[in-house]
Amino acid sequence: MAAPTNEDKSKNTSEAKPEQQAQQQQKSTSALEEDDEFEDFPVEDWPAEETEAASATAASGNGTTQHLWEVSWDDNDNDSENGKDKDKTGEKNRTFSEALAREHELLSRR
Amino acid sequence: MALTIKFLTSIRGFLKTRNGDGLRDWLMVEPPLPQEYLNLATELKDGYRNTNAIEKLVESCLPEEDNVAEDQGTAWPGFVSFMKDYFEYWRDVDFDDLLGAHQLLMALTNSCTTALNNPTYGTIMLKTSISLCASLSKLSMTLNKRPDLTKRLSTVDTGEEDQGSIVGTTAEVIQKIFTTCLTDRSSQRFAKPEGKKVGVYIFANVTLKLLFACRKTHLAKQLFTNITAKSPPLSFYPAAQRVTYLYYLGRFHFINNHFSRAAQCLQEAYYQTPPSFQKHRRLILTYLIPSNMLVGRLPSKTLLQRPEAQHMAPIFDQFAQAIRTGNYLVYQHALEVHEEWLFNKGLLLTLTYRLRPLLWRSLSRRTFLLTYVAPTEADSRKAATLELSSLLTTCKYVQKRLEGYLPAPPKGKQSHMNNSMLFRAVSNSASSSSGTGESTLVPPPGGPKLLRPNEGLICGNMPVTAEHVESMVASLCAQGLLHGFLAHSQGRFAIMGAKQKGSAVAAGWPNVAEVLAQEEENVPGWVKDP
Repeated sequence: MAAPTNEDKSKNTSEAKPEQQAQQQQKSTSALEEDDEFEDFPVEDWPAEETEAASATAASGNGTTQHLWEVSWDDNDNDSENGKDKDKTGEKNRTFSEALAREHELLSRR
Repeated sequence: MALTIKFLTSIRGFLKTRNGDGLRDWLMVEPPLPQEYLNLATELKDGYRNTNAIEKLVESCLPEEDNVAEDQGTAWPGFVSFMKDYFEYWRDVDFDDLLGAHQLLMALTNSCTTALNNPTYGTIMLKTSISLCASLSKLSMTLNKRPDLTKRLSTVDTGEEDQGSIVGTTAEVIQKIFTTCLTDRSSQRFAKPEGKKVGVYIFANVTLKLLFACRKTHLAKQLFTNITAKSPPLSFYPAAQRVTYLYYLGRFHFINNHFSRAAQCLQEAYYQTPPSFQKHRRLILTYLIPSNMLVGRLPSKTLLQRPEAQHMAPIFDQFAQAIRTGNYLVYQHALEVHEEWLFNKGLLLTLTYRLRPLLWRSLSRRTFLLTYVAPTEADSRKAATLELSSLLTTCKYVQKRLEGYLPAPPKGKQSHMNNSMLFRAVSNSASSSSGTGESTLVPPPGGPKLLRPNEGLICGNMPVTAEHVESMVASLCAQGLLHGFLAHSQGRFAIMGAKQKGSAVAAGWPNVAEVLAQEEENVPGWVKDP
């Protein structure tokens, strides 16, 4: 059972069916096939100024690293979601939350 | 014979002047090689089939001298026996037989470790050790990709319990040198490393590379424990060593589900790597982005637009979108489409299960926003609540969509729909045994999709029940992802602290990063400045 907990140890990604595998192989682009090895660097050392480390450790990260991560990302837009969340698998131009809203509306009318 | 003696005479000179670089440059073990080494090999093959003869020659050319000046050096028994092994290596090695060459090189490296261990002169061997380990590691990695060659080994070494892979046994040998360096007493723990301590992270990194290559990452635990206990601060070491080490340490923590620690290590590795090293930055990001996502920090557009993020941006963008909105459809779609890539990177299981709490959180939040009616003046003292039955409605809807159910066309637009498909959909609906009553969904033609256990909201096609929903909410409360309590008898989740936060939704669904991304002062394995 898939509980929302960090104790979940189930490892139930069972083998994909042959036809699914073939499909997936098609889907994964060859561009993603890269070497996994973390190679030795060609140089042994470099100054911090050549990196983003200096700006990252500066007070409250004023440098280039500041805009790399979003921590306030909750989606509060009930209606449109700026077209980001288009429910491609279902109705055209309807977002996930709109679809949910319809479902709730229907049931509340009952 | 002449060449062998000449060679040893030069070696003696390097020992005398304690010239570690010179020693390393002369003690070559792999091609490309100057002609002299090939001549040396021929001379050894012709004149020194007998091991005793080699030993006698080395002993006579490298005597242990007494009364050595303080800034000078001399041979010691460990070194003499290393040189004997070195000549045997050149006598026997055949670079067309990689497996045989690997075994000889392992023996030579072991002998080098013994020589390095000498408390007085061992440090002279540090550079040679580094170079030998680099060659050995390179050869092992090559063999790791040649199962046709190593298969032979398992038939040779029968009977050994848990006969390690080539890479595994190599890692063991190199780890011994790592330990020698770590326990060297030339400098204080938190002072600038001197003597063999200079090599701590070089050998740690070679060992880690091998352990990750043979997927025996659990064996890295001892190495990290030893570093935590004894190593000088990482900041004393060159940038290339720092970044490489933090990359492996971060991946180790990720594998062990310590995502906050993983994110700290990988983030530092990423920031310390100049943009010119695209491949390194790409590999670091491959693990940094999921680590950060799992603690509630999503990659921004700026990050995903960087060149090193190019290949992975479409993948992680979908996960981020799913997390933001609680959209299980997008989430499962992303897992399905990118399954092979995620599996190859070792991310599949983690992202299949560990992101779920964040999706449940957003799904419950979305349900609250859709269903909550703010109280009137009269009953404004009442706590804001989420009806669990509403969340159950949401969950049933999502589960059906995962099973392939389709949204029914809005009334009045039915004529646009393919008639036969609609007919089948409706007749399926009539015969379906779900009995969940009214819904905006109709079953897919051909019936609901059979889901794998990990593809359902709970487990495969298992229908979502009120008990499932209640236990999920309880679990989210326990993890701090929801702030409030379950009113079991009323079937509601009651939000606490809405007044202080200014809004019920802000109080009930606190910022994920603030809940999960605790910066730990001490990340195990990462020795910082005291």
